[in-house]
Amino acid sequence: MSTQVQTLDISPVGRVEGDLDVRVDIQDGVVVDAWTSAELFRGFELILRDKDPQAGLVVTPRACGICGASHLTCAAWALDTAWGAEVPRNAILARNLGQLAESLQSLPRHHYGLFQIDLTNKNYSQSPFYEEAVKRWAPFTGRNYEIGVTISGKPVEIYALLGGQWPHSSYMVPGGVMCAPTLTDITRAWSILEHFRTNWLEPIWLGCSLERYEEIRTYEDFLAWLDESPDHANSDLGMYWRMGLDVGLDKFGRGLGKYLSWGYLPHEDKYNKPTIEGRNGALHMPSGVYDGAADSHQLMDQQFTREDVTHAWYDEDGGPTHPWDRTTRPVAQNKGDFDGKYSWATAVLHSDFGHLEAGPLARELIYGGDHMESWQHRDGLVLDMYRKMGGASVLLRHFARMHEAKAIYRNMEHCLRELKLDEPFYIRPREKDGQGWGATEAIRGALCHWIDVKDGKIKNYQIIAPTTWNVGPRSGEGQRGPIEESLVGTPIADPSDPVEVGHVARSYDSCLVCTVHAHDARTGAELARFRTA
Amino acid sequence: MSKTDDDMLREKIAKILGNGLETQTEPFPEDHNQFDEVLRELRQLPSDDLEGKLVVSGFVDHPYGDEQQRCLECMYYLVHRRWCDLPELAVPVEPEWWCRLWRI
Amino acid sequence: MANLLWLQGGACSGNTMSFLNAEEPSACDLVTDFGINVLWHPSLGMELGDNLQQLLRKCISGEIKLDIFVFEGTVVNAPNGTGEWNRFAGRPMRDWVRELSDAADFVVAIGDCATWGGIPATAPNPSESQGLQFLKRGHGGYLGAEFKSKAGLPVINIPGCPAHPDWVTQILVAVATGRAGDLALDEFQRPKTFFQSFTQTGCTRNMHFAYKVSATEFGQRKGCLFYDLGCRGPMTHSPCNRILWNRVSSKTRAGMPCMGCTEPEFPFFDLAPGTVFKTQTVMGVPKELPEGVDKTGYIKLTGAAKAAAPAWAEQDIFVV
Repeated sequence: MSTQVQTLDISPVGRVEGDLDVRVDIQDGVVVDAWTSAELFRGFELILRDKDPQAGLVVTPRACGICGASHLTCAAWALDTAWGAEVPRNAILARNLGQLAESLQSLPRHHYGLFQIDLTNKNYSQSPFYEEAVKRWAPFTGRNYEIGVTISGKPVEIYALLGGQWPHSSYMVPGGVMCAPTLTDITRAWSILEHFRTNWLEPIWLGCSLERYEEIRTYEDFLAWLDESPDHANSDLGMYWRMGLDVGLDKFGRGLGKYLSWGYLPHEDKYNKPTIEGRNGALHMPSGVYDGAADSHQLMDQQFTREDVTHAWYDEDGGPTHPWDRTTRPVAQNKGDFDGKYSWATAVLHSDFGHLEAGPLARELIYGGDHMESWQHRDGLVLDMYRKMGGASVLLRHFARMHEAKAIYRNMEHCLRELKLDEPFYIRPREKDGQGWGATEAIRGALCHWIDVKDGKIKNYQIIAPTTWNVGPRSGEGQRGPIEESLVGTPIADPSDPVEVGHVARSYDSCLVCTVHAHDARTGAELARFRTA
Repeated sequence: MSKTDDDMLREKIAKILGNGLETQTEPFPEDHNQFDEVLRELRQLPSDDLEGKLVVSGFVDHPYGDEQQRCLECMYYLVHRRWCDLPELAVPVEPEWWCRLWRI
Repeated sequence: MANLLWLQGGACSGNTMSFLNAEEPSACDLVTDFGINVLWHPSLGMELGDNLQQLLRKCISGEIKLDIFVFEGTVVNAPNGTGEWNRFAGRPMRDWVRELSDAADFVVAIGDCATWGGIPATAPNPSESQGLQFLKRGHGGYLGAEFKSKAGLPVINIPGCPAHPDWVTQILVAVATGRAGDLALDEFQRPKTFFQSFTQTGCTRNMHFAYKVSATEFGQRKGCLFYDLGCRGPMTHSPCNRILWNRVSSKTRAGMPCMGCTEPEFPFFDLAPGTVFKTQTVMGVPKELPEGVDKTGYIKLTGAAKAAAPAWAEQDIFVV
């Protein structure tokens, strides 16, 4: 076996959103080092400077067409806290419902459209599951691909009932929401939810009722569920799990083992006078940091956030900086220098824990803790699997994402049940200067906005997206970013078609597009360039 | 608020204006930013300060200006209720009155 | 059978996400029923068995026939006209765009970024973004005012932030079924079949518009959004209230003012302080009136409308 190190540059990987290049060093068929570079800069923070305080409601949903509702949520809560707005309970519910609809949409869309295609890659043609995988999941023509992609358009019909359209509405505004839904909107929304459940969630994805799935509390419960009935084993979830194990998705993509979530879904009766400090105590879904090595949970807070531009294409002084103190000065010449600056993404750090992984896996691991209040959401399944499977993997990370269907669905029902149609949806706030912060959990992880309003206009606006956490480059101290770390140890069966790198990137659901360049690490000569899928 | 309450309040306002309350009819807001300034002032008043509202918004009990503007044609005037629908005012009015928040 | 290539520049993927909401035809139907062969798409890319750059080069050389080139997102020119801030497959995206546009039978710009520059081109336009053939109202854009694709058409502009999936699928079906000749484009190269009517056409608030009853603030169940909340429905060309969004609604129906996102100026006034969700006025009269209406006519109309308004117009109409 050769011990020569090969470098593989992947540019672009594809089926993640945006432009990301990945460079990996491969030795003996295994990735030994990795670098991730975000390749697109649009300068949203610069566009927002000196604009109307509400400009973020228009601009930021358009930072990402996939998580637009999450951006809008952050933009609205950031202004609410800056202006000291009062937000009526109906408005909190209507915001939560919209965001949940977007997340529910993303489950089948990402699963079939982006992730599952990889299992139809010819690399896996030896798997006994391969033939069935192609039948179900081949792009455009696979039976369940078509069902899944088409049904993914349904949940956002609920968003459109509230905001007029998805993507890119701005219906959440400081003081509430623009809409005042009527009974027919609520009944229609219920019907759409039911349709989603009875046409995909239960028959195709789970192979059982949602109630049966909810009985699963531990890894053993899950394995017993798989064995209980052919309907379970042959459901898309059952097939995903069994084929995933067969092709070894549980063997790589481990990551750095430290996780964060801002928490989300403010409680309709606990966050009507929103403040930055009061947020953690007012969330249905708790915030947190989970340190896998110490197996410890604690709350997350915005004041711990730092951005490190040592390896990012920004020319800003000083060490790791809190976003309120950032000046966002892009360098003109963004040459890729893997010892120096090589990404538009900054390295986002926790002041105590350094790099953290964001995303559904992070959320689910945090829901397993006991650091939250009794009324907050708690679910120990994924943490139990994490402990018993010896940590994270591509298999578990994507499972965690799909597992969220359960809580998303139930939370949507809660919103629909709790809306009181004769109560207000909006209380006009008084515009004033001040600093605000709004956060949420987009389906792909922790998202937040900081705003500083001065003299009636935006003085500073900063966004940290989940992908910024995950795809960030090395810190000033040389610690790899989460995806970089996650790639280390990944086996590459065929360097000419490194589908495994795509698996890792897509298990993070990065909003970036990547391609692979293959280099000989010793001579630097380019061997080839490849898409990973 | 019942119709009778509306009528009583309308009469009360008529009386205050009839007694010669000095209100800020000028300057007329040239654009929406100046308009917003007046709204901001209104929002700072205690909610029961009726006279304050009338003063800040420049109420008069007759048509005003060269064009003889009046509530009747104003955007915020609800004809059947004889009511000003601007949330910051929200008072019963007469069609021949006017204030500087007049909009069409 | 028509080969389609879809690339993204300075984009948020919102048009792709919108496109995936399509039904009749769905994205899958386009492939299976209308013979549209998706050569590559950044979110949906199929197994190629070869690398993307080779595919792109084959499209450029003509070895693979490129029937339809779809572009989403702005053409990024920063820094200093090099395009290095948006690299794709090893080189600036703008270089790929030029060569692929020259090779394609039809070039379709989807969404505001690709048509006029959209949000990224908002002052100070840090990414030096352009649309394919316009920058805001200015004809030219990245490809130049004279550009024509091989089929002899300029860039077909399907604006909107995002574009409605049906606007996209119907144009693709028109091209795939040989009906491109029926496409009539307006002065901004938008298909007239969609963009001749107004956003207001079909709005459920039209009666309140007619009787001059305003939604004075958000969260109300009555009133038109034009008078106070800055709605641009009467001045914007789009079929948003004829072809509903996500099959169920539209922004104005749901209570959100139209922001004019199918027009080149979006976002209007570059989002300057005081311009967001507020009707701009001069001496109590809206600065911009419904298209084709003059101030005298508008004032007369207001008097008549107020005189004629029925009592119900003053009550909530969208009741629980």
